[in-house]
Amino acid sequence: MNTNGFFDDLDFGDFSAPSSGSSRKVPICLVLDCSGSMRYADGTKRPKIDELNYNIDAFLEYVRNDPKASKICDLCIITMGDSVHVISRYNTVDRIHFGHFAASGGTPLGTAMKTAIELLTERRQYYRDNDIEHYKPILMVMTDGDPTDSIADISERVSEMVANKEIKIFPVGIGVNFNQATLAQFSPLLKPKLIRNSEAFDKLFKLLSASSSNPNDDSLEKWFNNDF
Amino acid sequence: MSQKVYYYLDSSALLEENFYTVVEALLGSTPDVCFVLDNDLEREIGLYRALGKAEEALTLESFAALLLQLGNTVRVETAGGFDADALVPLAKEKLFVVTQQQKLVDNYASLGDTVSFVSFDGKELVPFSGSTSINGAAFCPEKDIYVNPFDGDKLSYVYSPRYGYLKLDKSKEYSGGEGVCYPTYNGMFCKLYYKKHITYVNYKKLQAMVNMRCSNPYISWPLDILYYRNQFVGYLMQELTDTRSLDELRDDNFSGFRILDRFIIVRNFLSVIEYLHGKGILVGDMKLDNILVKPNCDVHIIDAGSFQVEDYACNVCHKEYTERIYTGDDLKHILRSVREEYFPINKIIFEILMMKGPFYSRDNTEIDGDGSREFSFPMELPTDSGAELPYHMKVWFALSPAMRQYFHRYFTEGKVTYVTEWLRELDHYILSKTAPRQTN
Repeated sequence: MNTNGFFDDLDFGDFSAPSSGSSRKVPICLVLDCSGSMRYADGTKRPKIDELNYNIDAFLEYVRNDPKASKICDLCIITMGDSVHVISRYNTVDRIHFGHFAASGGTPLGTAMKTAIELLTERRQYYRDNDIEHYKPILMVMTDGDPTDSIADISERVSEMVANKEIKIFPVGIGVNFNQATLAQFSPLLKPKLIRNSEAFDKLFKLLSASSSNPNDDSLEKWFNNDF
Repeated sequence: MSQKVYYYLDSSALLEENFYTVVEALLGSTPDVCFVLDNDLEREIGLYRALGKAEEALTLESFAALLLQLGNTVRVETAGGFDADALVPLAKEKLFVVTQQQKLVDNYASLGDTVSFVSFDGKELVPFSGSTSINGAAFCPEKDIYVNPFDGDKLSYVYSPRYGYLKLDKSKEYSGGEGVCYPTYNGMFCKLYYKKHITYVNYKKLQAMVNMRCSNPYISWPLDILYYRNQFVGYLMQELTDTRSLDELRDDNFSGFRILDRFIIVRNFLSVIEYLHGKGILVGDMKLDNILVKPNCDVHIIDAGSFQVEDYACNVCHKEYTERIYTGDDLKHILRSVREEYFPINKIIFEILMMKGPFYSRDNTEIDGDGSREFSFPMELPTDSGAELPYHMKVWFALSPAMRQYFHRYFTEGKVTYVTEWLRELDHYILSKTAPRQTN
């Protein structure tokens, strides 16, 4: 074995450990509906967009303060409304800053999901290039209505990724009017979860918080598997 | 021509006190006796000498010289007791494997019926009876007597027969798989079980543990059972301060510890495991969170209430750190084997050293992706090493060749290197890195 003397010189301390930052990550992507219809309360106490803003705040607060989640949670946020807007690419929470979401426009779900998959692919390449281990990526998509663009291609692609166990998808329908069949097209394993009151909103984000600090916690999945 | 009888003598047997009496007796009683020595013996003699254990080294050396002088001693190459091929021709006649090690019994079992495993009990050779239990049934009555248990988080004080009434400090809490821990007086900790774990089995198990002696200061052993209104709710243990869990350290890339410290952490961890396994106790729910490290590299194992003790099962598991998948009530009914515990042991020490999981590769960056438990760390340095090796590979090639072998054999063939052997190799390695360097 020719080591060119490399290992003869190898004494402890001669090569430094990777610098700060966890080498284990749990990638979480949130695709959030901020369409005009989110302005109304629909079973919830407040308008749906307010419920969303309130819970996102609480979720970020949790991740920021949890010693483990703050290190390992790699968060990406995408909203859909007037357009598809990448609020944050994958990053640790201390580097993500944004104001409250406003509700207006349609629900370009197809484009939003396409963006989500593009960003995830890019992130996976980053993990590979930088020798970062990661847990199975989580993709949570929340919408309260029908999509205003085509989802045919992307839903097939996402379903395939779920079936190949490349990602875990959690489809969430907000309010009583959302189209369950649409969301189901993305999710061959888990049925979409209906959220129609403030308590359910709370519960969803509490369970997501638990997943962000303990990727082996499967209570979110269990909750989705309960009766619809 | 009469059949030859072979006696394979391994170092663990040769080092037993008065073992020469066995050699004498065999020479006197069996006319066609042949002794078999492993080529690995010289390496072991070297290790003992390096560790300053001159007596052991000398004993092995004298035996080797004596037996080879007899003229009817054969040498075999078994790659450190892992490869039984060289013994196949001997097993066709009659072969006794004399050892005190479970490893040989496991690895040579494939030789078939003509091999007998025996060990020396101080007087004579007796059939080998190892400590490794095969999966047995756990103590698990069908109906539990606790019909209406208390909720731990609603209590503000508990009672310990030994320490009296204890107030719970609710300002701090640490929750785990089976319950929540609160600090109380005098540096002690109360673990209060969740309702579903307040069971008769857990009560009996803790009773057994409290009555059992555990003198090892690196294990948070239950000190007493805790009650509320005469009903069992949890147990009491010593509080540990100034520690960080391996899980935390892993996410911080073991900052504050040198590479050598990580080898010392592994060493200290394995010596606690050696103590427990020696008593027939399994950690069961072995995972990074339950292993705490002090700044001086001392390693403590917590959550003793979930250990597998006697026929009381360990009811919890972590899917990243268990070899097989347990479903539903399996955990309550099954006793795990020592062998199974070597999965988390190997995985955890691998992670401490390389700071990557053993199944990591550029093509498989996902942790515990479903079923992808493929070990792809190479035994030889890549030849196209134009690019700089990533950190985990540098550490991998800084391990001793024997350590690389131990991991490789385990993760590719499932062959276990037992803790004692690991400790000997680690001690030697740590010593070689801390001893003053000779300069020419």
